[in-house]
Amino acid sequence: MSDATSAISVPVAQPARRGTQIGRTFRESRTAYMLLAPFLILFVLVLAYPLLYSLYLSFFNATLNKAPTFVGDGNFAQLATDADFLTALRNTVFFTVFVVIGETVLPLFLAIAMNEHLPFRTFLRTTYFLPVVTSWVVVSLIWSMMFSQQGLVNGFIAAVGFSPEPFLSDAGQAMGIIIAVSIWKNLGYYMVIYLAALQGVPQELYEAAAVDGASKIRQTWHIAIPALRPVIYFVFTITIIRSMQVFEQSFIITNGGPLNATLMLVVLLYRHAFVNLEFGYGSAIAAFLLVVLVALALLNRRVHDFLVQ
Amino acid sequence: MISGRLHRFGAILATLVLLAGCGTGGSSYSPAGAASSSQGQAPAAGQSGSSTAAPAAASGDKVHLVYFNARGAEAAERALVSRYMQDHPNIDIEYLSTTSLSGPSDTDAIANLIFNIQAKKVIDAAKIEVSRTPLDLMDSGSIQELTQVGGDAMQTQLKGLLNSNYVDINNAVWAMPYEYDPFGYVYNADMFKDAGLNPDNPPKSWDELRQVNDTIKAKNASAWPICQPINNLAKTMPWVWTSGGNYWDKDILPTKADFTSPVVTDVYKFEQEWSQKGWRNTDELSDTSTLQLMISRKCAAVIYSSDLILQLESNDPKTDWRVAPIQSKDGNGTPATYGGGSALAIPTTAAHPKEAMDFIMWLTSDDGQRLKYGATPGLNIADQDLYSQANPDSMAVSDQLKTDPKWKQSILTVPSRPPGVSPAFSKIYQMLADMQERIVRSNSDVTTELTNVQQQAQPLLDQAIQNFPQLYQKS
Repeated sequence: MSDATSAISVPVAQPARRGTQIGRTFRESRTAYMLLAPFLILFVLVLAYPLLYSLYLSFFNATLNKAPTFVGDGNFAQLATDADFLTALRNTVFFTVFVVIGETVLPLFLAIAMNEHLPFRTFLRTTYFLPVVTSWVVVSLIWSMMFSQQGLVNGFIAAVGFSPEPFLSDAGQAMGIIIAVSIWKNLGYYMVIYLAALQGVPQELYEAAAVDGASKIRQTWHIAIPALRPVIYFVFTITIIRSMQVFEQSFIITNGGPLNATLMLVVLLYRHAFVNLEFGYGSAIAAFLLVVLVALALLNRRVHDFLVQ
Repeated sequence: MISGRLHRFGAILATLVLLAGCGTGGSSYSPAGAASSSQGQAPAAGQSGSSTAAPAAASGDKVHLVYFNARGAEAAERALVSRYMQDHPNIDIEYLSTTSLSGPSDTDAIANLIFNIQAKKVIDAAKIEVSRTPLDLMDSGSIQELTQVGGDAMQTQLKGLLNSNYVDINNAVWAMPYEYDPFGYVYNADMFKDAGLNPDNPPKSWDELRQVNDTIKAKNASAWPICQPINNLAKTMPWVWTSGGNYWDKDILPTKADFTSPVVTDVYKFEQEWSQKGWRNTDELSDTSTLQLMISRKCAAVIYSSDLILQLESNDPKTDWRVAPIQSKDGNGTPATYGGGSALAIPTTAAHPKEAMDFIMWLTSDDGQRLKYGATPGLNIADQDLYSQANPDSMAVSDQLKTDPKWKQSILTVPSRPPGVSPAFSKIYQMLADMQERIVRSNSDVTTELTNVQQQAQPLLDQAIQNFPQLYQKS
């Protein structure tokens, strides 16, 4: 008697080859890739290629119209002993700490306030958002005029009987102004982000808490803020990244002065690359900043994951 | 099926539209065409070049020149370009300019020009700063030596221009001086009168200046008797020269920095004294803020471009504005000033250097300068634009304008001195400017500061000598 199983040949599915899988995925998603293509092409041309070339240049002594000379880690070794670089690093970290706190906390309070049914709420929201849509150059120029020796603020101070303040000539005050303008300009942006998240919190939770006798502050602390935790994390991360790259306010208001008191890393990079035409050294500063920002982002992620668990 | 095809078609169309829009439209610049293959490389510094000019355009062909202005006076430059094209119908000039903010250095302001040159964009003529930039650009191989292009006619015309010693180095000419910007003591005569001082007798010595400053400060506690840019070397150098000192062993291609000499030390101590006594500005000065501070009577006097007086008179004609030479230590020094300004150069990427030279020769000629500064009518620009330029570089036109009541005070008769022009000057300039800021703002020890900066500057001079031996051999 013949084996029944041998008379029937059952086709056995072969595991698909990886290449075939990728090809099929691409064919199925062809339209999506075509729509993404313009961005990807621009990304490579405008971001990826310059970034990689800058990293490459950081190992060279490169200037205008001359072939670059390989110096290995010479530029990075120079960073460690460059007084201006260390000053700029210290200033940038100082600036970042205060701006991150300001831009994470203050917009949250604003958003909580704006979430209430206030009179002229729409007008207030628009007012807070206006600085966000104003150019950094315009804002910086106006603030530098306001706080100059003959500016509006000193005019007001003199009018009430006090002596004018050396806002932009004093190291501490100049840094304070740079920090203040940075926080002020971005308040509206982060407020809107928080507001959008707040409006996703179910009203029933607030009502239940109110029934249980919770005050507004307790409701905010125990309901709104826990619900906003992912958004707070997002804002925290974004403000760190943006603050470390500060340029316009420092360059336009004080040009890094007085006496390098407001000199930031990107301003220093600009001076080396575009004033002294030291492209290699400028690229080394840029590479350092990139490594720091990536490290901070990864650390931030780790801390967030740990806290969530 | 049809829906899928429609999606794919739409995606392809969107891709093409976006790519076409982003293609080459990022810049308004349209190159005149590749430089002629017969055009040689720019000669190395100090060597008599053998660069070959592009073949002259065939008769009847319109020549397209690109003129890059990295030094302001927009309205006048545009008007001059239009006028030149009117007078030369075979020439078409594309005008480009940089719109940078007032930057920390002139290299910063011409970064746009430099990157265009590095990208091999055709630029036939460029207006640049005169005291630091020509040798910076020579160092980077970005501009052509003009003797081969301009010949004897260029040399003859150069003799009639001020600041020629900034650009004519050992028989190599790197640019044609175009605008002249000497510095002086610009003061508010009305504030002098209010303080009981005689404005017809401005201070000539440091002691007289101290008395003037004390008197003005006593009369008006909130005013600054003397203002001067803080992070700046150009306004300080005349104090040293008029008092018989110098920063180097030579004015042109110096080989030795001498910042710790008694005169230089005294000048910086004097500037520190102004800060200690509350005589000078605490904010850094810019063109705009200087005008505001003078008109609002916050500054009684300022060490600045003498042509500032034209803008002051234009904005505030009721005030009596005056200009005087910068004071010497004992009042008897040989007057000298820093003559900044601008120059016209031909970049190495020029497609038509001969025609560019012709254009530059016209701009720097007496006729061109008369037109530019309103001595000959016809340019049709507003007075404000006319007066916001630096002074004429042509000696003949300067002499002519001295008789014009509007220009009389702006045209300083004090001769200018080269400030130590060398390939290293730009970097050393900034070192000395930063040092000055420390001395003025933080009361640091002057001798220590000068010693430190000299130790940093000398290697840069040595390196310049090493990199350009032929340039220094002939000097």
